[in-house]
Amino acid sequence: MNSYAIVVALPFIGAALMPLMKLGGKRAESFFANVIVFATAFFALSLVPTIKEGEVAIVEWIPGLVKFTAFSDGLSVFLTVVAACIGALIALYSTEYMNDEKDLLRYWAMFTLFIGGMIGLALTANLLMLYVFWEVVGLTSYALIGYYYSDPKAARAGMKAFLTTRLGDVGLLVGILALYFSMEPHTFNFLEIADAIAAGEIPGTVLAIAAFGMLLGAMGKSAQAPLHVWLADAMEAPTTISALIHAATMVNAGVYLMARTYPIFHTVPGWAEAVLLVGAITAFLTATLALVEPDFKRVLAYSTVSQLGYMFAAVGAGSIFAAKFHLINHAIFKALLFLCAGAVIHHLGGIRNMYEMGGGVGRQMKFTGTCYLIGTLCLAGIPIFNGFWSKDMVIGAALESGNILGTVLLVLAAVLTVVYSFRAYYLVFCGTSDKHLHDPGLAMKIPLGLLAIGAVTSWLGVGFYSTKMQESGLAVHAMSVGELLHHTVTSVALLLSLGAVALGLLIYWSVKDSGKALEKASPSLANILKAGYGIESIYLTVFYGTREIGKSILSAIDEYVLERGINRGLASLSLSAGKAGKVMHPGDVSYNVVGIITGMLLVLIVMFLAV
Amino acid sequence: MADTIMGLILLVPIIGALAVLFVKPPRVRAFSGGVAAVVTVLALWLTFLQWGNAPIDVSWPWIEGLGIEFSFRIDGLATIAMVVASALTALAIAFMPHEYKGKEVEQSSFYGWMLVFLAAMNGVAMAANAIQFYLFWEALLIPSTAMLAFWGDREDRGRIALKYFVYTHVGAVLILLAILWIFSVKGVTDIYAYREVLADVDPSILKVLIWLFVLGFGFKLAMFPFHSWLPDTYEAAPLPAAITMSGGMMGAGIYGIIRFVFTPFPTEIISQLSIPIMTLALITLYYGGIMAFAQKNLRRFLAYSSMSQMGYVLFGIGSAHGLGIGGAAFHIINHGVAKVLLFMVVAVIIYTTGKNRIDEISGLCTRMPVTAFCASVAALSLCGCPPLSGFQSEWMIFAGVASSGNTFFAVVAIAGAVLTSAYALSFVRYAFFGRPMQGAENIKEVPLNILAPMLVLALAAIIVGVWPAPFFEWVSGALGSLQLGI
Repeated sequence: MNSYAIVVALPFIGAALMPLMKLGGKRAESFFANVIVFATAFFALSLVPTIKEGEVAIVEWIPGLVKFTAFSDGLSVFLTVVAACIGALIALYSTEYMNDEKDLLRYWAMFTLFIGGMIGLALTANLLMLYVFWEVVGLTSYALIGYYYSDPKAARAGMKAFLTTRLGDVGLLVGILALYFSMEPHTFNFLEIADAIAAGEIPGTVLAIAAFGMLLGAMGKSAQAPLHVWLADAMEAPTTISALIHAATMVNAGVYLMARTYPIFHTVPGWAEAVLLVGAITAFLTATLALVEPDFKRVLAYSTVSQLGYMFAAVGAGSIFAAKFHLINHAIFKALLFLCAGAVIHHLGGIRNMYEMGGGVGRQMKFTGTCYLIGTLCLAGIPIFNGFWSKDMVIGAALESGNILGTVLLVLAAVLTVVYSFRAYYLVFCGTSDKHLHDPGLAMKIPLGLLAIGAVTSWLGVGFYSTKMQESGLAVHAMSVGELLHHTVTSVALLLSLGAVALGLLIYWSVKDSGKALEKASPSLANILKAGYGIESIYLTVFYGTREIGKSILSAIDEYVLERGINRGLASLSLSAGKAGKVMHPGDVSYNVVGIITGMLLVLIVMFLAV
Repeated sequence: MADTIMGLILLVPIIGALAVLFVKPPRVRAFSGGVAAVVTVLALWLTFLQWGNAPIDVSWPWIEGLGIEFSFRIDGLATIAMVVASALTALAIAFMPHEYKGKEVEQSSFYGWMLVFLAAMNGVAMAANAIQFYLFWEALLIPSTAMLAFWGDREDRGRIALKYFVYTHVGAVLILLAILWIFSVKGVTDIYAYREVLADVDPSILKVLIWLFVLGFGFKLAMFPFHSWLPDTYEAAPLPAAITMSGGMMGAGIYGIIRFVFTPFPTEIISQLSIPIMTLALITLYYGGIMAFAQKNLRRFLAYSSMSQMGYVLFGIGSAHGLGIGGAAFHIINHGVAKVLLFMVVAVIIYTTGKNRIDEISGLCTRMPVTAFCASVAALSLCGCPPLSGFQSEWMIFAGVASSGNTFFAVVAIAGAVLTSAYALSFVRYAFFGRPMQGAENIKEVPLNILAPMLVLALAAIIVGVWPAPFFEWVSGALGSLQLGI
């Protein structure tokens, strides 16, 4: 059993044993889950020194068909570390945050199952296993969005998330199977497939089907437009889950998949451009939605989608490292923002509407307010905070790829990001309040503090990440912090990103609350944004419309063609045939005698002729 | 040894069915459940004896003038079919709470019919002679029609029983036609000799024969356009009978296709029929899916969902590719587990709330968390979500179809999974989530003796999903020994 197998197996074992902890009550459940998740994080960190090119065998899952092997390169291991470590911090935070809930067992079972699924997804080099883990995390996401199942909104949101991502997964499975069958002998192993593609053994059409199919899958999981509609509704989940699954880890799976497959798909005509544009359009589109959104958590959800758009754009522009760098930074600061938001909402008794909060929270929850401010600065891309470096790198990559439309959208999105992120800070934390609030306890403060430190410093690890990734055979150029500084300062992108920040700050200073300002300036535009451009209502119309139309057509077939037409039709046909035949059997003796004699005569004639 | 057990597998339930008539109502269920459990043990024993060995043949002279023998053959596939059918029947009998239907279902004769049904299913699985197969096939019809006609839950149960009888009988006649054609031309009724005698038959005649078999068995699978009997039957059938039908009898249809089509007929001919069979399968899949999504009545919902799932099975069969057929056979089992579990959940809902429409119930999860868990597992398994068992067979079916070169069909079928998710999860959402329905405070979780069979099935769905290797090897090993030539 190598450490890769341990990292994957540990959370699953934990999830399987979790029901036993019911015997020990809530404290035992929380304690056990934390032990499992922290141990997983420890083993995940222990993988970092072993980063190398290639794969590690884990287990033969279905003999002869599916062999589970793990990637040991930087792309996979760093994602594993992010999932496990942020998972551990959020587990610690949950012990206090979720303590009042009645049914913790379900929470922790799904939590550990999710960590296992996410790590498996990050590590596996077998495409079918990737699909399995991909669905496992989707399953846990579904279950945890619907954690408060008695709330119809939560039940609906869970199903919506599952169905929307499932739509994308159709593409993913088609892509995987297409690659599987064009290989001789058939295999799900990514490295073997990559070799075959490099050798030109896979036909172009298959490659195109696989490339765009997987793009669809990634768009579903990472909530990229036009499949972004589920993530904002997913905020019905407990805030810890929003932080873990719907901000820091699961939604990165799509970015990871794109980064992983970039080397094999980038030659497919139009694929890289499509990835870039999907990302850039999403980044801009969802940033505009965040401008008017009154719900605190939904603003953060839109910002997540928007930042994921940056990562997509980076992959499409060919810079896997920029995507990965932004992924790591974003996971840290977005987890921080969500956990701060959770603390606030927790103390306000569940109010999520920023206008109803009344502001002034920052005065009373100083620690939380400071942490949130740090997160906001990162999100807005203010220099020296981690978000700045990676966002600048993404814009630089887009610029270098020569895609003007994509670059413009990303820069505009950066402007809007500043506006909406400060708006949220302003509405919730600034001003005065007569409410009596206090900072949370230690179990919540420690994760906040650690994440805040991470948000300020994680970019300093750039040399480490890039070196490890380059060493493990990825197309990444190793750069030290010094080189990063030099590169950033001397690039044109710096002007764009600083200009965007400056413009954003200017807008913020002049209007403060973009939602109110927009409503005043152009109510119709504000309404369009509030309705999310009507994308969701189109989906609902199509979804239920198909069902209703299908139902009426098929019910008509069932009722009129099959039941009345064939079933009863045949029955009445035989009845009337019987009635018609009845004429010949009136039961009159003389008729019978005539019939018998005629028959006998006929027989005689036939016999006579035959002889 | 083996021949004694084979005899017992048929005799025990038949004698049990007669004996149960003399058992007093309070013990009827325990008695007949015990008989079914004994049969399950016998089937497992037979599996053990046959495991890894050549097929076991037993025969007695029967119609000597025509050279027809009364013969049984036990191979891997037959043992799987028998174990699944017997275990599901035992669970179906054991599961139903006797409070549920009052005295009616407590009548001894009902359980007698259940046992006859089981004997017929095992007879179908073991038959090595086509005429004898046909007899057992028709014998399936009698107990199921009787249970529908006398214990059905709808006023017009007589009409529904008749409809069910006529439909499946027409299917059986098509099968008989093909069997008799082969007998009259080649003089052979031994199913395992078919391959040899069919080798030199004209391909166009072979195609007609294949169609006769596929359509004939298609009636039992509720293949479009022969599904008209299914929703009414499932709505009216008493729940234990419906459980056995959905789990066992539908599987018999696929069993027949594998035995009569894939084993004897040359693969080149079958694969020429791939496209029309898969088209029918896709229509069945989407037809059932859309109708299931639109149903308000819980049992009709399950019926259409079964129809849709049989579309998947037929789809895998139609691929004429080893992985696809293996996946289809595997899916019969996985679907059986999930669907029986859903039937039990629905039975529990009907039993506890007295409601049988989806729009009359909601928020049951607060009152019945274990049932809700079982329902979620079954629904997710049905929509092919890993790590549950439904996924394992579904991807094999898709993979089989794609490797037979029909990528477009595979894409359309995979997209059907979204439809399945929509109806399966809608059911869970409306029945269990949301605000508790009126009167929910009086609802209690059902007792452990009802939950136990459900939890067994839920656990089975999880275990097979997480660790499919041994089960898949069992199924694919059984198919491999048939030398399908694919």
